Amino acid sequence: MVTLLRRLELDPAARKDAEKEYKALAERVADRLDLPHHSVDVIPQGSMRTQTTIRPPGRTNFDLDVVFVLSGPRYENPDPELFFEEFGKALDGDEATTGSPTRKNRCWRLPFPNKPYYFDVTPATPDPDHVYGAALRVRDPETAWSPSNPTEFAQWFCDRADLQFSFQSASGLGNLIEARKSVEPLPSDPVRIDDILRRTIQLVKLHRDNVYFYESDKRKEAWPISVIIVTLAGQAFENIWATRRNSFSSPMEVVLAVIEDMPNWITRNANGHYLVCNPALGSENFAERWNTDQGLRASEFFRWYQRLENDIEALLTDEYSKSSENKLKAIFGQVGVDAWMASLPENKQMAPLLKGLVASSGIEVSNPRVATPVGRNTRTLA
Amino acid sequence: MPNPPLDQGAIEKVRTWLDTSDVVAAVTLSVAQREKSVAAWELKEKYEHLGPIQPRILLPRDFPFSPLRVELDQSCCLRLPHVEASGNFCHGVLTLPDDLADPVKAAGRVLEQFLAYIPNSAEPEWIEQEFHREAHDYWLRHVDAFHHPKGCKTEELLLEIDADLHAPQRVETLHLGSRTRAIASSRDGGPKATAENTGWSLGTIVYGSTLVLRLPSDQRWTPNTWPRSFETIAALADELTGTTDGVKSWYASRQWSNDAPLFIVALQNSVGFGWRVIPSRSRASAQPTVVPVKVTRIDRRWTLARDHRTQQLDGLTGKRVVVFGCGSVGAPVAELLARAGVGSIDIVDPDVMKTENISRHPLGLPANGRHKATAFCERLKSSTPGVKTAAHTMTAQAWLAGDHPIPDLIVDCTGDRAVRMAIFHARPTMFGLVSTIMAWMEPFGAAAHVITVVGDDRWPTSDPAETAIQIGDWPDEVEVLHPGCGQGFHPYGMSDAWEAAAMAARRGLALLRGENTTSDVLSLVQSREYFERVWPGITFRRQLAIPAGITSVVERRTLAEALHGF
Repeated sequence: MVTLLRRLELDPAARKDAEKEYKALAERVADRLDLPHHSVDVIPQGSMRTQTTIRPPGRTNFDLDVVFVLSGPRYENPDPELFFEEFGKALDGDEATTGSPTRKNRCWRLPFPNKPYYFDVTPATPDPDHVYGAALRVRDPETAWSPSNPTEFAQWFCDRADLQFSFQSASGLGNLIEARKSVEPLPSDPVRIDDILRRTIQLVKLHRDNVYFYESDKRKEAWPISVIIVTLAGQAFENIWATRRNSFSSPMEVVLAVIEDMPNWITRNANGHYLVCNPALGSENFAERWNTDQGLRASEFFRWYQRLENDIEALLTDEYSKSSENKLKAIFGQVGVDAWMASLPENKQMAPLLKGLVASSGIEVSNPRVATPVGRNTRTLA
Repeated sequence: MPNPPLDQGAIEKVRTWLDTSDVVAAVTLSVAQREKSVAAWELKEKYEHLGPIQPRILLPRDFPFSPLRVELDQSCCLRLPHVEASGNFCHGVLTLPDDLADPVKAAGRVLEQFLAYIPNSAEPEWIEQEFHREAHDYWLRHVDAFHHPKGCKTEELLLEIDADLHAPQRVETLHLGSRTRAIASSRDGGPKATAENTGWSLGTIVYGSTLVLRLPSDQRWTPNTWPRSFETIAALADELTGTTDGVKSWYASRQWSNDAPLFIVALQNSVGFGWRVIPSRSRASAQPTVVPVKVTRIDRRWTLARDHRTQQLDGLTGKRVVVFGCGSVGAPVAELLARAGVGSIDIVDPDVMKTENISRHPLGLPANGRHKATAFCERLKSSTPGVKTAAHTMTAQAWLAGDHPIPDLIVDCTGDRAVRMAIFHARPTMFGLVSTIMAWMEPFGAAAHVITVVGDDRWPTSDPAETAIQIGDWPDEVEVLHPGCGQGFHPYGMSDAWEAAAMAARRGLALLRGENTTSDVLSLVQSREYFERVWPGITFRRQLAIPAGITSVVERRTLAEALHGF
């Protein structure tokens, strides 16, 4: 079950390619804004940074978020609107590769028509005195500037994801993940089987995408946003690690426990307002909009969460080998099924040459992992 | 020089397939491999978790009747599941009929298993599950690979405990003569009685003890989890029994000499894992050494039922059957009943074994001149664990006149009218209404009859065996005479006798299990052509309509039907 998630990842070649593209883009932006190259820093953020990317259903492209930090004298006190427009213009000029930029609330979207991904590029400038609360500020149509701390949030997340459960270390699987670099390169550690927190988030996001796929736009608009899922799961994971890290015998049990604990990290203040605070920036409430929409987002969250609990429980009570295509499809959609199918012949990765040899004998190489009748005595009499 | 391959064509096809593949490289066969294989290849692909080991493919000389082999390395045994001590990968692929036509696919099926094995064998949890699933095999490999300390030759413990094991049990134990084996038995008479019954030599008798523990089914038993020292075994035992120092106090309370056979056995489901416990020779206080041993169960539940349907076996163990006549039918009847689990068998026969009996008697030349009953009882005791036997070297009539506990079943295999008459004369008064089976054959095995009488039913004193039961009206000349009083014989073979014995034993077992409790007559009858071939011109007492193309039938009539009019 968990293996299937590996297949939902952006593949390494595409990841490298994306990295190349955003570096090239940064240079182009610097040239067009007439800035020295070192004045444009690129920070991957969101799921790309936390390695919790999933391929959304119905679309084939991954959504990659990057922040371009522009620094230098002219960005010490710019007008947010001008800053945003100027940046957008700087993105023009290479439409053959990037496609036409379209304006979003805080970012510009570059569709990269020939690539398996698109970029959401958010321009930011340093806010050295934390006037707006963080090291970076980004343009916000409602408040002019908003604080932004993609690096700190990602670091908070990765620190939690690195927490090890004792069953992992005992089986020799849980080598510590190398401490991540603070900036620049895309995190490149392959997402591993014991990378429980990331796996949980991928699973949960996939479920959410699938549940909302056929919903009305109004409901889609109010779905549980990724940053809330990441925050709740990260806090639940840390809590479970801190209180019962030795009481699990398999990663799946941890997944279930994290999901169970997630809603406990939604708090309400004295006014009854929902709070899901950015753990790396206490003043930022990711659930701010829950308090201004007549409860729509909150009720969507709990409705979806109820289904998540039921579906995951039902799925995991069966053995993986029995996870039928239909069942997976009902819960995770065709994307889930495709990923599951692709995840089965692991030997594709481990023994591609031998697989080719077997195929050349005239045998259709199926999914032998499902059942390995090795050593079975199948004679009629014993 | 080894024999040429059985199917050169198939071998060449696979050889060409692999030689032209760039996935494998041909390698030279070792001298040892050359005896069984004609060619070998090494996989070029690297598998991280296998380290420097490159799997090899071996093409056996008798391919495709023996499947392709894949070899890892000896060091993989007990590190990875499904690898034998030789390094051979146990793929479980069997030969299929299509393999002759498509030998390359036959080879591919083996490699397909290995392809599946590669990613699995990199996963610790899969490895542990597989080790546990076939724990007994891996334990035996562990025993084989264990380097025995000087002076310890024990490799196998024969274990006989019949009772359900609820708490740890101490069982009396003896070395067998060669000292490579020991026997532990909780039955009456202990290991000595079992060894004597079986004819195992004991040598100098030194008593020891075996401590038997029950291991829960879900207790993982793998090379990574099984205990390897006295200390860890003791800790495991304490954990299982919820006590402290159970094993240690058993060991400390020992009143045995230093070379006494001491064992600890953990029984999990049907299989046992054992250790020989060897006291330290230098210091009495030091922890003893433990040596893993093979545990072979010789109790009835395992040997007679493989722990399957033990309730039925236990039911039969409590039964006692008396067999009259230990000839060509009576002896196999007794054997079949004993192997099926009947606990007590009395054999009544005054005759001694003669050399001319050999052609159709289970006893052979070594029993010449011995009482058949005595020799056959010995044979039953040595072949069938726990069976109780009694030999009565007297006629059935004499036995019936004696004073004996009432059996559950009498099987008369004498074919003697006087015995039938005596049984049914004695039955109401002596035995109450003990179930009785009578079995006999017609000459040449042309027919065999099994008559069952139960409850109030009676076999008439007029003994209508010929008139109501027999098929052929055999003339006197059929009996081959011998210059001696009553020493003639009817011609038939051992296979005919065993067919009759099987029918009688099956009927007897059904009675003992309470499955078929009506009086009836079973007649196994060969076709009319058979009768006429073995005795041209034979006339029939009864006609049985056997359709053309059918060689023999078994007819069942109720006793009342068979005796109608008698």
